[in-house]
This record gives sequence, structure tokens and C-alpha cells, in this order.
Amino acid sequence: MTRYVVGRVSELPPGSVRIVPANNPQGIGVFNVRGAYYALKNVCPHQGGPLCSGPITGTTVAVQEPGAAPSFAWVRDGEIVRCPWHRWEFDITTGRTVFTSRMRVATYRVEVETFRVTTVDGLVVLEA
Amino acid sequence: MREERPIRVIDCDVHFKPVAAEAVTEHLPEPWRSRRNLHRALTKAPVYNPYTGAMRLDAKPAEGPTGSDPVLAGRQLFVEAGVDLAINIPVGEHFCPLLDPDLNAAYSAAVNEWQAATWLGAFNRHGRYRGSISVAVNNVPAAVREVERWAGDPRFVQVLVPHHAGAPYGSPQFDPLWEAACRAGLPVALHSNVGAETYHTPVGVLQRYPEYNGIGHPLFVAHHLVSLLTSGAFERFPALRFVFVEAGFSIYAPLVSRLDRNWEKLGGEVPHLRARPSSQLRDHVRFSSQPVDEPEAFADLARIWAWGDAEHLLLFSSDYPHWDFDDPSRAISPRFGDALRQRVMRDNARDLYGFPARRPADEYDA
Amino acid sequence: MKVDALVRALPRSDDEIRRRIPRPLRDIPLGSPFGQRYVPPIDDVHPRAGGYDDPGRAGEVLFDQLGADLAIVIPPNRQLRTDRRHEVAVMRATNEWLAETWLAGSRFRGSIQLSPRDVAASLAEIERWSAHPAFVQVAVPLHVHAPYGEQEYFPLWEAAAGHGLPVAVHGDGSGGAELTPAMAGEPTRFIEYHTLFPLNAIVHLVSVVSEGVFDRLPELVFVFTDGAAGVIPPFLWREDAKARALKEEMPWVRERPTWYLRQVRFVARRDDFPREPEHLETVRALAGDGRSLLYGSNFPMWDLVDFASEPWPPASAFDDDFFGGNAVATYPRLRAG
Repeated sequence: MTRYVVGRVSELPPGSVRIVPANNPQGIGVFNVRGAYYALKNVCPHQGGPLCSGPITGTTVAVQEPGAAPSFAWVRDGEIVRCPWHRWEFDITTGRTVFTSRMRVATYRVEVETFRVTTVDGLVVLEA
Repeated sequence: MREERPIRVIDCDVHFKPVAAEAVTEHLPEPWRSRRNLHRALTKAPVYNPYTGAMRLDAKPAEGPTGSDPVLAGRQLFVEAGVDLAINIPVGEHFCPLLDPDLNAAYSAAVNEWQAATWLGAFNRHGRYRGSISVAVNNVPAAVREVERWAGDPRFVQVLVPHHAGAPYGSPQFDPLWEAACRAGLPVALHSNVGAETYHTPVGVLQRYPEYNGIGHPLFVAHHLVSLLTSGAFERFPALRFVFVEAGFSIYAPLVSRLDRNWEKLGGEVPHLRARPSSQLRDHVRFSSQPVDEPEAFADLARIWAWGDAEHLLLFSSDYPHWDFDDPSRAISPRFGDALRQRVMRDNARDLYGFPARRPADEYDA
Repeated sequence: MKVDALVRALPRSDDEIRRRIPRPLRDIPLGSPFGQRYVPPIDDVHPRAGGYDDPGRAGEVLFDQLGADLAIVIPPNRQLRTDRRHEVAVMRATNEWLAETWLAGSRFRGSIQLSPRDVAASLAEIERWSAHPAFVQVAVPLHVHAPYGEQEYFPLWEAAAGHGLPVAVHGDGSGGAELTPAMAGEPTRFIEYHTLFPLNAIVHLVSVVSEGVFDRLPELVFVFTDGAAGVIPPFLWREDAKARALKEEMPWVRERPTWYLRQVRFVARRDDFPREPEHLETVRALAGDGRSLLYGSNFPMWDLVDFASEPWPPASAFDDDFFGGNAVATYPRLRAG
């Protein structure tokens, strides 16, 4: 296990991400989601795209009013990263895809490897 | 004597753009070059959610639109993706078919001039790119002239037609175009484009992009394929070869099987058809691979690919730089075996387009 | 028990329907029950199907010669009519005629014809006939102007599911007010039309899945009666991939599209299957394994293939479930009539 200094806390504000060249050629993305840090391997389990360089966004959930066609609400803004290739949505806080288990394809894992991030003396530190 | 490298991966579907519209329109003669609102007609606003302009987000260059920078494209295609040769298919913004047959013919010619000058010219010193002769299917005489104009130029490897032409491609008004393609020794590629079509299916309009994008283009191609087969186009033009690009693969073997069954009972309607429809596919039809289907069970995909003779009919394509790009190292599962993978990644395209086995080494080789 | 899940009940003449339609609508021509725009180059009716317009003689062929125990009939809806009132009148008259003729016997079961463009009238028709023990499903035309996931149709599916009535989507000739039935323009030959038109079922299926209709009505079953089994399922693989990538537009679709095949049935004739045993197994597997295929002869049409006369190859696809068990499981009312 190696420790990497990602940068100063002030350099990684909430809503931002920094790619750290560690662990594999595409590196690890370190995210700040509302003050908490998460790290995901920057390799989408689908076809290997640079997952952590995708948009940090939210997702939708269904809203059903009786007698009407279903509609949606926008939720979890800032907690989702969407792969810049085939748009798979991942929960930054868990590394799992947002689509449910029954939408998965057996041949693809639906989670990406996560890593531990801490802060020490004003620095963000990744363990990988 | 320049060093050479073996060709291992041929990408049969990439989409390059001009940096700005003028790069294409400068090749237009008057009166069209000064035509008002030309740019708006050529950049049809999408009706469905366009999802980042349908582009891979990491393929956007620092300047210019996605697909316009040869340096970034070269790195992403040749180095990161390991592609050896790539065939450009000009569709989408800047390449929309136009309703005016004369303007459409003139603009297609300009598109081909632009390809020749840039991606097949100044950007192609390594010689890895090939192009497609864009033609106006609503102006068949002009389309024939355009094919003849580029016929001897080895950088253009096929004739390109859109998915929508007002009539299915087995209809007799297109015969002169197929004849011209055959005389030029060129296959005809069919790739979806935006603009001239409506969004109506035979049973109405679908609401969302994932619905329409999933089935709309395959439904067009299914019709064109059945039309070509039942009209006897491949018997009238024994040298005619069609490539259906980005239209899927898994749906066609069952469909042509259905056509075979119908032909057994209804063949009296098509006495000009001497051959069973499915027997014509191997000699006349190819399909590009992207997007490769992802069914729940690999065994189902393997069975459909065996039924459809993917080993001989399928050509690898990435669709770079679109968002549903297929990475060459991942798209064709190794579970299909080396023989199929090699034919799909290289040999089927080599046989169809007459590519060599080796290419000169260049700055993208390690 | 052998069930023939698709018999076309044809009236002896247009008069049988028209006399049940009030004037002045009665005077509007009905059009051929065999369709008028795409016309086969052979006889519309199979040589074995003599007496097809008489339920007694049809029954002799279907039950005595061809070996069915029960048969589910769908009458022609005469395509979409330009006049909506006329379309509703034809619907009502057809259901009345069917109940009085074919369903008066004991071994025919029927389909409540609906006119989906008039939801109120169709709901009334469901209420009118749902208590009649011989009606086992509702029937809607394949060729309409908007796909069946659209919200305006939802009350029909809700009512049908509530009454235990699957929804049969049936192609029904040509020459009315339908849209062009193929994607790239007008088909020029019957073989082109007949090969392609079953694909239109995928538009309805994608619409129904993507609008969450199956999620909202878990008891609802759609039955596609014309050739869809062999050609539709691989289209859904593309939808699976799109649903994963673009789910933010359809978060109410809980499962992948292929999962919803459990709420779909396909009526299949033998010519809907390829000849080769391995490909036949592929079709069966992709259509939802053993549960979703229902044998239907399409009596009396030219593509009729029966149990007995032309041998069905031994194959796991052609088992007791296919020839009857799946129909019994699909239609809760089947035996009660």
C-alpha cells in the first residue's frame, strides 16, 4: 500500500476531482463530494474508458402519480460520475453502478474498485 | 526502403469533422456558396436528446469540435486503440443530406473535395485513412457522375448512401448508381445520417432517444436489405456489394431466414430471383460490428453470430469518436476464438476493400 | 390439450357486419378482410381451409381434421378507417357478430375487438363483453398511428389486465388509413411487405417497455400474433444496452428490456421458425424460452400450417407447452367458456 499526496485540501474543493497517476496507467480519481473524499479506479468496468474524467452529476428517479404517465425527479446531484464513453452512471460514494442489478450484463462487473482517502495536516492522502 | 508493419486492426467506421463549416463550403461553387441559411440546413438540430452531441467526452480537442483534430484523433485511434487503418464516413453535422437535389449534389461534391484535401490529404501523410464518396441519392444522375469522378482515386474505398432515400434501395431508380459503383469496383456503404428523414416509424413516433436509436436505424436497414434481395439487385449487378454500417448484426439472420421461408411460398411474385435470398448474403452483404450486442448470455450472442456467419460477414468498427464507441481490444470477445476475431478485425475488410497486409511504419508506431 | 391460438374468423359476407351498423355509416365500404394494398400472388386462403367462413365447417377442419381442442378466433378489424365513428361502429358490429356466430359453439374462444383511437368507446366495449365467458382476450390492430406505450392507451391496458384479458396485437390486412408499413418507404411487393411487417411489433414493444406500462401493470400480457417470435427478440439487446447508458431518461423502467419478455407472448406458425434445428432452438431461447410461444395456425390463410398435414420436426420448441400448455397458462378464461 502506497500513500499518495493528492494535493492540499484547498485544491480539491467539494464537487471537484483530481486524477492521481497511481495503481494503473489510467490512475485513480479522487473526488470531494460535499466535504467527504472518495477514490475510484479510473477504468470503467464496461470497456475500460476513463471513468473519473466524466461529468460529476446527479441522476433521476421515477415519480408516479396515479393515473398519469410516470415522470422523474433529479436527485443526488454531485454524487454520481458518468463514464464519458457509454454513460454508465456510478455512485461515487460506493463505486457501484446506479442501474439496478437486473439491468446488468453478466459479463461485466458493475462496480469499480475503491480506495481509501484521508486528510493529514491539510493534505489529501490516497492509499492505493 | 521504409519499414513496414502488419495490419491487424481495420476500423470501418470513423467520423471526422471540419474545424469550421467553411472548410467544406469553400469547395462549393456559386450560387450555393453564398446561399442564405445553408449552415442551418446542414446542422439540423436534433429532435431527441443529443447527449453531449453524441460524442465521447474525452475525444474533445482543446480547440475545434470533436473529430476535427488529426493529432488527437491519431493518438486516440492509432496509439490508444491500436487501429491500423480507419475508414472515414462523413455523416452528421456538416454532412446532412439536403432536400434540393441540385444543392445536395453540389454539397456532396464539396464534402468529397474536403475529405480529399484534409483527412485523405494533408492529414494523411501516414496513409492510414480512407474515405467514402458521399453522393446525393435524391439526384441519381449527379450521384453517378460523382462516383465516376473519384473512381480512380485509391483513397476513396466506397460509395456512401444515407438510410433515408424516400424509397427502399432495391427500387429501380437507384440502379444506375449501383451500376456506377460496380464499374468503379467500389462497395456501397449505408450509414444513418440526419436531416432528410422524419422520425415516423410505421406505427408512430417514439418519444425518446434510447427507444429510437435502438431500433430506428436497424428498421431502415432491414427494409433496404429485404428490398435489395427481393428486387434481384444482386443478380442484376453481380459485382454489387453493400456494407450496412452501425445497423447491428444480430437481427439479420432471423430476418433473412423469414424471407427465405416467404420466398418458398411466394416466389412466384419474384420470378427474376433465381437464388434463395440467404444465399446472396455471403457474396454481396457485409455488416459493421459496432455496437456489439451485450445479451445476458454470451452463448446467445455466439449462436446468433454463428447463424449469421459473422466470421465472414462482420467488419470491425469503432464509431470513433461517438459516445457508444467500441474499443478494438474489448469489443470482439476472445471467447469467439482467434479465427473469427482475426477475420472480423482485419481479413473481412481486407478482402472487401482490397487492403494490403502491411503498411508503412509511421510516427504512431512505437 | 391442443390449443390453436390464432384463427381468423371471417364473415360469410360484408353484409353480416354491415347490417349491424346503423345508417348512414352502414353504407361505407368495409374493404376486403384480406387487405387491399399488398396482395399475395397466390390464393389468400389455404386449400385445406374449405368452408372457412362457416364456424361449423371451420370447426370440422380445425378440431376434427387438424386436432385442436380449442381455438381462439380474431375477426378482421378492416384496418383503420378514416371515419372514427365508422371505425367504432365496425368494432361493435364485429364483436356482436362474433358472439352470435362463432362463439355460440363450445370450442371457439374469442377476442374483443377494440378501436384504440377511441379509448372511451373501447373501454365501453370491454365492459360490454368482459362477462361473456367465451371472450379470452382483447385485440388491437398492429398498424396504428401511435405506439402502444403512449399514455392515452393506458386505460385500455389497465381494464384488460383487470379483467384477465391479454392484449393481442394483430396485423390485419392493408389499405385503410394506416401509415406506410415499412420504414424506408412503400414496399413494392407482397413478399417485401409480408417479410417486414412483423417487425413493427418491436416499436410497440419498445414503447410499452420504455413508458413503464409493464411495471405499472405487472399482470398485463401482450400477445403478438404475426411472425414476431422469429425476428423481434434480438432488437431488444440493443435496447438493453441503451437502457443502461441512458437510464436517466427512463428511470421508471426497473429492469432491462429483455426481462419484460415474461409479459409477452408470440403466436407462431411453423413458417415463423427456421428449418435448421439449431437455429430453431436459438429462436426458442431468445423468445423467452418455453413459456412465450403459442401455436397458432392462422387458419384459413395461405400460410396455414397445421399440426398434422405437414410434419413438424422433432424439436424441443414444439412440445406440449407450445401446442397448448402455454395458451392455457396465458389465458385465464380459456377453459371456462
